[in-house]
Amino acid sequence: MLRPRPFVGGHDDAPFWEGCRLGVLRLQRCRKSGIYLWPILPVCPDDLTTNFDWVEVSGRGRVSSYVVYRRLYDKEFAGALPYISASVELVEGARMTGNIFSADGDMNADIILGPEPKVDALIGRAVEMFFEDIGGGLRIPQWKLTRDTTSPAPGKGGKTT
Amino acid sequence: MSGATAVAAVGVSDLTMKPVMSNEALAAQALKRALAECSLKKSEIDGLIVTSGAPGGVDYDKTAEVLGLKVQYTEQTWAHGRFSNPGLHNAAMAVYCGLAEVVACVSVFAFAKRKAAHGNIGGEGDHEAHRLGGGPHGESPTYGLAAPLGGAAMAWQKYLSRYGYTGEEAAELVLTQRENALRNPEAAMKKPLTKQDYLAAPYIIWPLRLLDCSLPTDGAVAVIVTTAERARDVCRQPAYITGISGINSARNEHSFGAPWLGIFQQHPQEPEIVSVPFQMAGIDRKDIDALQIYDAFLPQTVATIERFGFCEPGEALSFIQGGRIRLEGELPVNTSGGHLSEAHIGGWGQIAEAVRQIQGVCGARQIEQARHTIYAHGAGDCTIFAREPD
Repeated sequence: MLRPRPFVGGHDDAPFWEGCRLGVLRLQRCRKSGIYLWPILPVCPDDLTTNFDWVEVSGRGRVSSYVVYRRLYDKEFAGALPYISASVELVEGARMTGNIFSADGDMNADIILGPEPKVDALIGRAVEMFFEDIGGGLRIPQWKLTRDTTSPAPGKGGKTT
Repeated sequence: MSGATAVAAVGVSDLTMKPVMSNEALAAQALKRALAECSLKKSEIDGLIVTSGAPGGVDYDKTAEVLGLKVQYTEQTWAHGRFSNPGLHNAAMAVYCGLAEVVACVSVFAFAKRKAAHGNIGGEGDHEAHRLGGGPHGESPTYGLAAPLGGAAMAWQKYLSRYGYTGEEAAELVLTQRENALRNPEAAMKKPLTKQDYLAAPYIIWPLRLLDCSLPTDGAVAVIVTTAERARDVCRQPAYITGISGINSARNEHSFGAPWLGIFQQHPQEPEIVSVPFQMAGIDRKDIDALQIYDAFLPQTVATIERFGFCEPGEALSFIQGGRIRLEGELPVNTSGGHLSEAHIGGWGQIAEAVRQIQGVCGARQIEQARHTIYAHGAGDCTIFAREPD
Protein backbone atom coordinates (compact mmCIF):
# COMPACT_ATOMS: atom_id res chain seq x y z
CA MET A 1 0.00 0.00 0.00
CA LEU A 2 0.92 3.64 -0.33
CA ARG A 3 2.33 4.94 2.97
CA PRO A 4 3.82 8.16 4.33
CA ARG A 5 7.46 7.93 3.29
CA PRO A 6 9.92 6.86 5.96
CA PHE A 7 12.75 9.20 6.87
CA VAL A 8 15.68 8.14 4.70
CA GLY A 9 18.74 10.11 5.70
CA GLY A 10 21.21 8.65 3.22
CA HIS A 11 24.07 8.73 5.75
CA ASP A 12 23.87 6.51 8.82
CA ASP A 13 20.94 4.48 7.49
CA ALA A 14 22.15 3.61 3.97
CA PRO A 15 23.19 -0.01 4.79
CA PHE A 16 19.77 -0.63 6.35
CA TRP A 17 17.79 0.46 3.28
CA GLU A 18 20.21 -1.33 0.98
CA GLY A 19 19.59 -4.51 3.05
CA CYS A 20 15.82 -4.09 2.73
CA ARG A 21 16.17 -3.71 -1.03
CA LEU A 22 18.17 -6.96 -1.14
CA GLY A 23 15.68 -8.73 1.17
CA VAL A 24 17.98 -8.87 4.18
CA LEU A 25 17.08 -7.37 7.58
CA ARG A 26 20.29 -6.06 9.08
CA LEU A 27 20.96 -3.97 12.13
CA GLN A 28 24.01 -2.40 13.68
CA ARG A 29 25.73 -4.44 16.39
CA CYS A 30 28.43 -3.01 18.65
CA ARG A 31 31.63 -5.09 18.36
CA LYS A 32 32.53 -4.55 21.98
CA SER A 33 29.25 -5.07 23.81
CA GLY A 34 27.32 -7.12 21.26
CA ILE A 35 24.47 -4.67 21.71
CA TYR A 36 22.15 -4.03 18.75
CA LEU A 37 21.64 -0.37 17.92
CA TRP A 38 18.10 0.56 17.00
CA PRO A 39 16.80 3.00 15.88
CA ILE A 40 19.75 3.50 13.55
CA LEU A 41 22.54 5.51 15.14
CA PRO A 42 25.68 7.21 13.82
CA VAL A 43 27.74 5.87 16.74
CA CYS A 44 27.45 3.40 19.55
CA PRO A 45 25.96 5.52 22.37
CA ASP A 46 28.14 3.73 24.89
CA ASP A 47 31.55 4.89 23.64
CA LEU A 48 30.63 7.17 20.70
CA THR A 49 32.72 5.12 18.27
CA THR A 50 31.67 3.61 14.95
CA ASN A 51 32.89 0.29 16.23
CA PHE A 52 29.87 -1.63 14.96
CA ASP A 53 29.00 -4.04 12.16
CA TRP A 54 25.85 -4.32 10.08
CA VAL A 55 24.70 -7.88 10.72
CA GLU A 56 21.76 -9.89 9.47
CA VAL A 57 19.19 -10.65 12.17
CA SER A 58 16.72 -13.51 12.45
CA GLY A 59 13.53 -11.61 11.62
CA ARG A 60 11.82 -13.48 14.44
CA GLY A 61 10.39 -11.80 17.49
CA ARG A 62 7.35 -11.26 19.65
CA VAL A 63 4.84 -8.47 20.14
CA SER A 64 5.98 -6.16 22.93
CA SER A 65 3.02 -3.76 22.71
CA TYR A 66 0.39 -2.87 20.13
CA VAL A 67 -2.54 -0.57 19.49
CA VAL A 68 -5.49 -0.45 17.12
CA TYR A 69 -6.08 2.70 15.08
CA ARG A 70 -9.77 3.44 14.61
CA ARG A 71 -9.32 7.08 13.59
CA LEU A 72 -7.66 8.19 10.38
CA TYR A 73 -4.62 10.41 10.83
CA ASP A 74 -2.84 10.12 7.47
CA LYS A 75 -4.86 9.86 4.26
CA GLU A 76 -2.74 6.96 2.97
CA PHE A 77 -4.39 4.72 5.59
CA ALA A 78 -7.97 5.56 4.54
CA GLY A 79 -8.61 2.05 3.23
CA ALA A 80 -6.67 0.30 5.99
CA LEU A 81 -8.71 1.11 9.14
CA PRO A 82 -8.77 -0.49 11.63
CA TYR A 83 -5.11 -1.52 11.63
CA ILE A 84 -2.55 -2.54 14.25
CA SER A 85 0.66 -0.64 14.95
CA ALA A 86 3.06 -2.48 17.21
CA SER A 87 6.41 -2.57 18.87
CA VAL A 88 8.08 -5.90 18.11
CA GLU A 89 10.97 -7.26 20.14
CA LEU A 90 13.36 -9.27 18.00
CA VAL A 91 14.96 -12.36 19.52
CA GLU A 92 18.18 -10.33 19.24
CA GLY A 93 16.66 -7.76 21.63
CA ALA A 94 16.03 -4.74 19.36
CA ARG A 95 12.49 -3.35 19.39
CA MET A 96 11.18 -2.27 15.99
CA THR A 97 7.93 -0.54 15.12
CA GLY A 98 5.71 -2.09 12.48
CA ASN A 99 2.24 -3.30 11.55
CA ILE A 100 0.90 -6.69 12.52
CA PHE A 101 -0.57 -8.92 9.82
CA SER A 102 -2.34 -12.25 10.23
CA ALA A 103 -0.54 -15.41 9.22
CA ASP A 104 -2.58 -15.16 6.00
CA GLY A 105 -1.34 -11.64 5.37
CA ASP A 106 -4.46 -9.73 6.41
CA MET A 107 -3.90 -6.31 8.00
CA ASN A 108 -7.47 -5.71 9.27
CA ALA A 109 -7.44 -5.54 13.07
CA ASP A 110 -11.01 -6.80 13.44
CA ILE A 111 -10.12 -9.95 11.50
CA ILE A 112 -6.93 -10.47 13.51
CA LEU A 113 -8.35 -9.71 16.96
CA GLY A 114 -12.06 -10.47 16.74
CA PRO A 115 -14.85 -8.12 17.87
CA GLU A 116 -14.02 -7.67 21.59
CA PRO A 117 -10.31 -8.18 22.10
CA LYS A 118 -8.73 -8.31 25.54
CA VAL A 119 -6.02 -5.74 26.09
CA ASP A 120 -3.21 -8.29 26.17
CA ALA A 121 -4.47 -10.49 23.31
CA LEU A 122 -1.31 -10.19 21.21
CA ILE A 123 1.29 -9.46 23.87
CA GLY A 124 4.12 -11.95 23.55
CA ARG A 125 2.73 -13.48 20.33
CA ALA A 126 5.40 -14.75 17.95
CA VAL A 127 5.85 -12.85 14.70
CA GLU A 128 8.13 -13.13 11.70
CA MET A 129 9.36 -10.42 9.42
CA PHE A 130 8.52 -9.93 5.76
CA PHE A 131 9.27 -7.03 3.46
CA GLU A 132 6.52 -4.79 2.14
CA ASP A 133 7.17 -2.87 -1.06
CA ILE A 134 6.01 0.74 -0.61
CA GLY A 135 7.06 1.95 -4.03
CA GLY A 136 9.82 4.29 -5.09
CA GLY A 137 12.42 1.57 -4.62
CA LEU A 138 11.75 1.19 -0.89
CA ARG A 139 10.88 -1.92 1.05
CA ILE A 140 10.09 -1.84 4.79
CA PRO A 141 10.16 -4.60 7.41
CA GLN A 142 6.70 -5.79 8.50
CA TRP A 143 5.45 -8.46 10.88
CA LYS A 144 3.21 -11.46 10.42
CA LEU A 145 1.80 -13.61 13.23
CA THR A 146 3.23 -17.12 13.06
CA ARG A 147 0.87 -20.09 12.96
CA ASP A 148 2.71 -21.47 15.96
CA THR A 149 1.37 -19.31 18.83
CA THR A 150 4.16 -20.14 21.29
CA SER A 151 6.77 -17.43 21.80
CA PRO A 152 10.34 -17.95 20.64
CA ALA A 153 12.95 -18.35 23.37
CA PRO A 154 14.76 -15.19 24.45
CA GLY A 155 17.52 -14.41 22.02
CA LYS A 156 21.25 -14.83 22.16
CA GLY A 157 21.95 -11.14 21.76
CA GLY A 158 19.74 -10.41 24.73
CA LYS A 159 19.89 -6.65 24.87
CA THR A 160 19.88 -3.49 22.85
CA THR A 161 20.71 0.05 23.59
CA MET B 1 16.73 28.15 46.84
CA SER B 2 13.76 26.51 48.58
CA GLY B 3 11.31 29.23 49.56
CA ALA B 4 13.40 32.02 48.03
CA THR B 5 11.02 32.64 45.14
CA ALA B 6 7.27 32.58 44.78
CA VAL B 7 4.42 32.92 42.38
CA ALA B 8 2.70 36.21 43.13
CA ALA B 9 -0.16 35.89 40.69
CA VAL B 10 -1.67 33.80 37.93
CA GLY B 11 -4.05 34.73 35.15
CA VAL B 12 -6.03 32.40 32.93
CA SER B 13 -7.62 33.47 29.65
CA ASP B 14 -11.01 32.28 28.48
CA LEU B 15 -10.67 28.54 27.81
CA THR B 16 -12.64 27.50 24.76
CA MET B 17 -13.38 24.39 22.73
CA LYS B 18 -13.72 26.49 19.56
CA PRO B 19 -11.25 29.06 18.24
CA VAL B 20 -12.74 32.42 19.24
CA MET B 21 -9.76 34.76 19.43
CA SER B 22 -6.20 35.10 18.22
CA ASN B 23 -3.30 33.57 20.11
CA GLU B 24 -1.98 37.06 20.82
CA ALA B 25 -5.32 38.13 22.29
CA LEU B 26 -5.31 35.07 24.54
CA ALA B 27 -1.83 35.97 25.82
CA ALA B 28 -2.95 39.53 26.51
CA GLN B 29 -6.04 38.39 28.37
CA ALA B 30 -4.04 36.01 30.59
CA LEU B 31 -1.42 38.61 31.46
CA LYS B 32 -4.00 41.28 32.16
CA ARG B 33 -5.83 38.95 34.53
CA ALA B 34 -2.59 38.01 36.32
CA LEU B 35 -1.70 41.66 36.82
CA ALA B 36 -5.17 42.27 38.25
CA GLU B 37 -4.38 39.73 40.99
CA CYS B 38 -1.42 41.67 42.36
CA SER B 39 -0.14 45.23 42.70
CA LEU B 40 2.69 44.81 40.20
CA LYS B 41 2.66 47.06 37.16
CA LYS B 42 3.30 45.65 33.73
CA SER B 43 6.37 47.90 33.45
CA GLU B 44 7.92 46.07 36.41
CA ILE B 45 8.09 42.79 34.47
CA ASP B 46 11.72 42.36 33.42
CA GLY B 47 11.75 38.67 32.43
CA LEU B 48 9.69 36.53 30.06
CA ILE B 49 9.40 32.75 29.69
CA VAL B 50 7.47 31.14 26.84
CA THR B 51 6.94 27.37 26.46
CA SER B 52 4.96 27.45 23.24
CA GLY B 53 5.42 29.27 19.98
CA ALA B 54 4.03 29.82 16.51
CA PRO B 55 1.94 28.36 14.99
CA GLY B 56 0.33 26.78 18.08
CA GLY B 57 1.27 29.64 20.41
CA VAL B 58 3.06 32.99 20.41
CA ASP B 59 6.86 33.28 20.18
CA TYR B 60 8.71 35.25 22.87
CA ASP B 61 9.56 38.21 20.64
CA LYS B 62 5.97 38.70 19.51
CA THR B 63 4.76 38.20 23.07
CA ALA B 64 6.97 41.05 24.28
CA GLU B 65 5.98 43.21 21.33
CA VAL B 66 2.23 42.59 21.56
CA LEU B 67 2.09 42.89 25.35
CA GLY B 68 4.32 45.96 25.48
CA LEU B 69 6.94 44.28 27.66
CA LYS B 70 10.55 45.40 27.95
CA VAL B 71 12.50 42.49 29.40
CA GLN B 72 16.19 41.84 29.99
CA TYR B 73 15.83 38.07 30.36
CA THR B 74 13.91 35.69 28.15
CA GLU B 75 13.76 32.03 27.18
CA GLN B 76 11.57 30.00 24.85
CA THR B 77 11.43 26.22 24.82
CA TRP B 78 10.40 23.57 22.32
CA ALA B 79 6.61 24.03 22.03
CA HIS B 80 5.58 21.06 24.16
CA GLY B 81 3.67 21.09 27.42
CA ARG B 82 6.39 18.95 28.95
CA PHE B 83 8.40 22.16 29.36
CA SER B 84 5.96 23.83 31.75
CA ASN B 85 7.83 22.83 34.91
CA PRO B 86 11.26 23.68 33.45
CA GLY B 87 9.84 27.00 32.20
CA LEU B 88 8.63 27.87 35.67
CA HIS B 89 11.95 26.74 37.17
CA ASN B 90 13.83 28.88 34.68
CA ALA B 91 11.82 31.89 35.88
CA ALA B 92 12.54 31.06 39.52
CA MET B 93 16.25 30.53 38.85
CA ALA B 94 16.52 33.78 36.91
CA VAL B 95 14.95 35.60 39.85
CA TYR B 96 17.11 33.76 42.36
CA CYS B 97 20.28 34.54 40.39
CA GLY B 98 19.34 38.19 39.98
CA LEU B 99 19.01 38.12 36.19
CA ALA B 100 15.49 39.50 36.52
CA GLU B 101 13.25 40.43 39.41
CA VAL B 102 9.76 39.88 38.05
CA VAL B 103 9.39 37.15 35.43
CA ALA B 104 6.16 36.53 33.56
CA CYS B 105 5.63 33.05 32.12
CA VAL B 106 3.12 33.50 29.30
CA SER B 107 2.15 30.49 27.22
CA VAL B 108 -0.62 30.01 24.69
CA PHE B 109 -1.73 26.58 23.49
CA ALA B 110 -4.10 26.68 20.54
CA PHE B 111 -5.32 23.11 20.05
CA ALA B 112 -8.83 24.23 19.04
CA LYS B 113 -7.31 26.15 16.12
CA ARG B 114 -5.21 23.15 15.15
CA LYS B 115 -8.23 20.84 15.28
CA ALA B 116 -10.28 23.27 13.21
CA ALA B 117 -7.53 23.44 10.58
CA HIS B 118 -6.41 19.78 10.47
CA GLY B 119 -9.27 17.79 12.05
CA ASN B 120 -6.81 15.95 14.30
CA ILE B 121 -4.02 16.61 16.78
CA GLY B 122 -1.12 14.87 15.06
CA GLY B 123 -1.08 13.08 11.73
CA GLU B 124 -0.86 15.03 8.48
CA GLY B 125 1.20 18.20 8.80
CA ASP B 126 2.94 17.02 11.96
CA HIS B 127 6.56 17.38 10.88
CA GLU B 128 8.02 16.37 14.24
CA ALA B 129 6.68 12.84 13.77
CA HIS B 130 9.08 12.34 10.85
CA ARG B 131 12.31 12.67 12.83
CA LEU B 132 15.00 10.06 12.29
CA GLY B 133 14.32 7.32 14.83
CA GLY B 134 10.74 8.37 15.53
CA GLY B 135 8.65 11.31 16.71
CA PRO B 136 8.64 12.84 20.19
CA HIS B 137 5.87 10.48 21.34
CA GLY B 138 7.05 7.38 19.47
CA GLU B 139 5.35 8.29 16.20
CA SER B 140 6.28 6.33 13.09
CA PRO B 141 3.97 7.60 10.33
CA THR B 142 5.09 5.01 7.77
CA TYR B 143 3.54 2.36 10.01
CA GLY B 144 0.44 4.43 10.74
CA LEU B 145 1.71 5.08 14.25
CA ALA B 146 0.62 8.70 13.99
CA ALA B 147 -0.20 11.37 16.58
CA PRO B 148 0.86 11.71 20.23
CA LEU B 149 -2.16 9.60 21.18
CA GLY B 150 -0.58 6.60 19.43
CA GLY B 151 2.38 6.63 21.81
CA ALA B 152 0.03 7.06 24.76
CA ALA B 153 -2.05 4.06 23.64
CA MET B 154 1.11 1.99 23.29
CA ALA B 155 2.11 2.91 26.85
CA TRP B 156 -1.40 2.18 28.14
CA GLN B 157 -1.49 -1.25 26.53
CA LYS B 158 1.84 -2.04 28.15
CA TYR B 159 0.67 -0.82 31.54
CA LEU B 160 -2.67 -2.65 31.52
CA SER B 161 -1.23 -5.95 30.33
CA ARG B 162 1.76 -5.82 32.66
CA TYR B 163 -0.31 -5.18 35.77
CA GLY B 164 -3.49 -7.07 34.84
CA TYR B 165 -6.07 -4.30 34.50
CA THR B 166 -8.88 -4.03 31.95
CA GLY B 167 -8.72 -0.24 31.65
CA GLU B 168 -12.23 0.30 33.00
CA GLU B 169 -10.67 1.02 36.42
CA ALA B 170 -9.56 4.39 35.02
CA ALA B 171 -13.18 5.60 34.92
CA GLU B 172 -12.80 6.82 38.52
CA LEU B 173 -10.03 9.18 37.47
CA VAL B 174 -11.91 10.58 34.48
CA LEU B 175 -15.14 11.03 36.44
CA THR B 176 -13.34 12.69 39.37
CA GLN B 177 -11.68 15.19 37.06
CA ARG B 178 -14.97 15.92 35.34
CA GLU B 179 -16.70 16.58 38.66
CA ASN B 180 -13.87 18.91 39.63
CA ALA B 181 -14.24 20.75 36.33
CA LEU B 182 -17.96 21.23 36.98
CA ARG B 183 -16.96 23.14 40.14
CA ASN B 184 -14.53 25.26 38.13
CA PRO B 185 -16.30 28.14 36.36
CA GLU B 186 -13.30 28.62 34.02
CA ALA B 187 -13.32 25.02 32.73
CA ALA B 188 -14.08 24.62 29.02
CA MET B 189 -16.02 21.41 29.66
CA LYS B 190 -19.43 21.89 31.29
CA LYS B 191 -21.13 18.54 30.65
CA PRO B 192 -21.65 16.01 33.48
CA LEU B 193 -20.30 12.53 32.82
CA THR B 194 -21.42 9.10 34.05
CA LYS B 195 -19.43 5.91 34.18
CA GLN B 196 -21.72 4.57 31.49
CA ASP B 197 -20.88 7.53 29.24
CA TYR B 198 -17.20 6.95 29.82
CA LEU B 199 -17.30 3.26 28.95
CA ALA B 200 -19.46 3.96 25.89
CA ALA B 201 -17.06 6.59 24.52
CA PRO B 202 -15.52 5.43 21.25
CA TYR B 203 -11.99 4.11 21.07
CA ILE B 204 -9.79 6.42 19.03
CA ILE B 205 -6.65 4.36 19.26
CA TRP B 206 -7.50 1.23 21.23
CA PRO B 207 -7.11 0.76 24.19
CA LEU B 208 -7.61 4.53 24.67
CA ARG B 209 -11.02 6.14 24.42
CA LEU B 210 -12.00 9.63 23.35
CA LEU B 211 -12.50 10.61 26.99
CA ASP B 212 -8.95 9.54 27.91
CA CYS B 213 -7.68 12.45 25.82
CA SER B 214 -7.23 16.09 26.77
CA LEU B 215 -9.67 18.67 25.48
CA PRO B 216 -8.53 20.30 22.24
CA THR B 217 -8.93 23.83 23.61
CA ASP B 218 -7.52 27.28 22.99
CA GLY B 219 -6.25 29.19 26.00
CA ALA B 220 -3.38 30.96 27.71
CA VAL B 221 -1.98 31.21 31.21
CA ALA B 222 0.27 33.86 32.72
CA VAL B 223 2.25 33.12 35.89
CA ILE B 224 4.24 35.86 37.62
CA VAL B 225 7.33 34.78 39.56
CA THR B 226 9.37 37.03 41.82
CA THR B 227 11.42 36.92 45.02
CA ALA B 228 9.69 35.77 48.19
CA GLU B 229 10.09 39.26 49.70
CA ARG B 230 8.66 41.03 46.69
CA ALA B 231 5.79 38.55 46.46
CA ARG B 232 4.79 39.29 50.06
CA ASP B 233 4.60 43.00 49.18
CA VAL B 234 2.58 42.67 45.99
CA CYS B 235 0.00 39.97 46.72
CA ARG B 236 -2.15 38.63 49.54
CA GLN B 237 -0.76 35.11 49.56
CA PRO B 238 2.38 34.07 47.68
CA ALA B 239 2.73 30.47 46.58
CA TYR B 240 6.32 29.82 47.62
CA ILE B 241 8.33 27.51 45.40
CA THR B 242 9.89 25.12 47.91
CA GLY B 243 10.84 22.05 45.88
CA ILE B 244 11.64 21.37 42.24
CA SER B 245 12.95 18.59 40.01
CA GLY B 246 13.74 18.59 36.31
CA ILE B 247 12.84 16.48 33.29
CA ASN B 248 14.65 13.15 33.09
CA SER B 249 15.89 12.21 29.65
CA ALA B 250 17.47 8.92 28.64
CA ARG B 251 16.80 6.00 26.32
CA ASN B 252 14.45 4.47 28.88
CA GLU B 253 12.32 7.60 29.12
CA HIS B 254 9.06 7.88 27.22
CA SER B 255 6.50 10.67 27.39
CA PHE B 256 3.64 8.45 28.45
CA GLY B 257 4.90 5.84 30.84
CA ALA B 258 7.37 5.14 33.62
CA PRO B 259 10.90 4.17 32.52
CA TRP B 260 10.50 0.64 33.85
CA LEU B 261 7.39 -0.19 31.80
CA GLY B 262 9.00 -1.38 28.58
CA ILE B 263 7.50 1.05 26.07
CA PHE B 264 9.32 1.20 22.71
CA GLN B 265 13.05 1.31 23.56
CA GLN B 266 12.62 1.05 27.33
CA HIS B 267 14.26 -2.09 28.64
CA PRO B 268 14.04 -3.69 32.08
CA GLN B 269 15.14 -1.59 35.02
CA GLU B 270 14.16 -1.25 38.64
CA PRO B 271 11.61 1.47 39.43
CA GLU B 272 13.21 4.80 40.36
CA ILE B 273 10.93 6.89 42.54
CA VAL B 274 11.25 10.69 42.64
CA SER B 275 12.08 11.80 46.19
CA VAL B 276 14.51 14.73 46.03
CA PRO B 277 11.95 17.55 45.61
CA PHE B 278 10.09 16.41 48.73
CA GLN B 279 13.35 16.50 50.70
CA MET B 280 14.12 19.92 49.22
CA ALA B 281 10.73 21.17 50.39
CA GLY B 282 11.22 19.58 53.80
CA ILE B 283 7.99 17.59 53.59
CA ASP B 284 6.71 14.04 53.21
CA ARG B 285 4.45 12.95 50.39
CA LYS B 286 1.58 12.71 52.86
CA ASP B 287 1.89 16.47 53.46
CA ILE B 288 0.76 17.13 49.88
CA ASP B 289 -2.79 18.53 49.99
CA ALA B 290 -3.44 18.50 46.24
CA LEU B 291 -1.70 16.80 43.34
CA GLN B 292 -1.89 18.41 39.89
CA ILE B 293 -0.68 16.19 37.06
CA TYR B 294 0.16 16.80 33.42
CA ASP B 295 -2.45 14.72 31.62
CA ALA B 296 -2.46 15.18 27.88
CA PHE B 297 -3.64 11.56 28.04
CA LEU B 298 -4.83 9.50 30.97
CA PRO B 299 -1.82 7.09 31.11
CA GLN B 300 0.35 10.03 32.19
CA THR B 301 -1.69 10.58 35.33
CA VAL B 302 -1.33 6.95 36.32
CA ALA B 303 2.41 6.92 35.55
CA THR B 304 3.00 10.15 37.47
CA ILE B 305 1.22 8.95 40.63
CA GLU B 306 3.55 5.94 40.64
CA ARG B 307 6.75 7.70 39.66
CA PHE B 308 6.40 10.18 42.49
CA GLY B 309 5.84 7.36 44.96
CA PHE B 310 2.26 8.09 46.00
CA CYS B 311 1.68 4.34 45.56
CA GLU B 312 3.69 1.31 44.47
CA PRO B 313 4.45 0.72 40.77
CA GLY B 314 1.48 -0.99 39.13
CA GLU B 315 -0.95 -0.06 41.90
CA ALA B 316 -2.23 3.34 40.77
CA LEU B 317 -5.46 2.02 39.23
CA SER B 318 -6.32 0.43 42.58
CA PHE B 319 -4.99 3.38 44.60
CA ILE B 320 -7.29 5.92 42.92
CA GLN B 321 -10.49 4.05 43.83
CA GLY B 322 -12.86 4.66 46.73
CA GLY B 323 -12.81 8.46 46.74
CA ARG B 324 -9.14 8.81 47.66
CA ILE B 325 -8.39 11.28 44.84
CA ARG B 326 -11.64 13.25 45.09
CA LEU B 327 -11.77 16.76 46.52
CA GLU B 328 -12.64 15.46 49.98
CA GLY B 329 -10.20 12.52 49.74
CA GLU B 330 -6.70 12.15 51.17
CA LEU B 331 -4.97 13.05 47.89
CA PRO B 332 -7.13 15.20 45.60
CA VAL B 333 -5.91 14.95 41.99
CA ASN B 334 -6.33 17.54 39.23
CA THR B 335 -8.70 19.66 41.27
CA SER B 336 -9.49 22.06 38.39
CA GLY B 337 -10.33 19.21 36.01
CA GLY B 338 -6.90 18.88 34.43
CA HIS B 339 -6.26 18.67 30.72
CA LEU B 340 -9.02 16.08 30.41
CA SER B 341 -11.84 18.28 31.70
CA GLU B 342 -10.65 21.88 32.26
CA ALA B 343 -8.48 22.66 29.21
CA HIS B 344 -5.11 21.74 27.69
CA ILE B 345 -2.86 24.75 28.27
CA GLY B 346 0.35 22.69 28.20
CA GLY B 347 0.54 22.15 31.97
CA TRP B 348 0.15 25.82 32.88
CA GLY B 349 -3.47 25.31 33.92
CA GLN B 350 -2.23 22.80 36.50
CA ILE B 351 0.39 25.29 37.71
CA ALA B 352 -2.28 27.98 38.04
CA GLU B 353 -4.45 25.56 40.02
CA ALA B 354 -1.59 24.49 42.33
CA VAL B 355 -0.94 28.18 43.07
CA ARG B 356 -4.60 29.06 43.55
CA GLN B 357 -5.16 26.19 45.99
CA ILE B 358 -2.35 27.68 48.11
CA GLN B 359 -3.89 31.14 47.77
CA GLY B 360 -7.28 29.75 48.88
CA VAL B 361 -9.18 31.25 45.94
CA CYS B 362 -10.67 28.09 44.42
CA GLY B 363 -14.26 28.56 45.58
CA ALA B 364 -16.38 25.42 45.32
CA ARG B 365 -13.33 23.22 44.67
CA GLN B 366 -11.08 24.71 47.36
CA ILE B 367 -9.16 22.15 49.45
CA GLU B 368 -9.51 23.23 53.06
CA GLN B 369 -6.28 24.63 54.46
CA ALA B 370 -4.13 23.61 51.53
CA ARG B 371 -0.55 24.13 52.70
CA HIS B 372 1.45 22.16 50.13
CA THR B 373 0.54 21.47 46.53
CA ILE B 374 2.53 19.91 43.74
CA TYR B 375 2.45 20.02 39.97
CA ALA B 376 4.08 16.83 38.69
CA HIS B 377 4.80 15.45 35.23
CA GLY B 378 5.59 11.90 34.20
CA ALA B 379 9.18 12.65 33.20
CA GLY B 380 10.02 13.16 36.87
CA ASP B 381 9.83 16.96 36.89
CA CYS B 382 7.74 18.81 39.44
CA THR B 383 7.21 21.97 41.41
CA ILE B 384 6.11 22.03 45.05
CA PHE B 385 4.28 25.14 46.23
CA ALA B 386 3.78 26.07 49.86
CA ARG B 387 1.83 28.57 51.93
CA GLU B 388 4.90 29.34 54.01
CA PRO B 389 8.45 29.76 52.67
CA ASP B 390 9.91 27.19 55.09
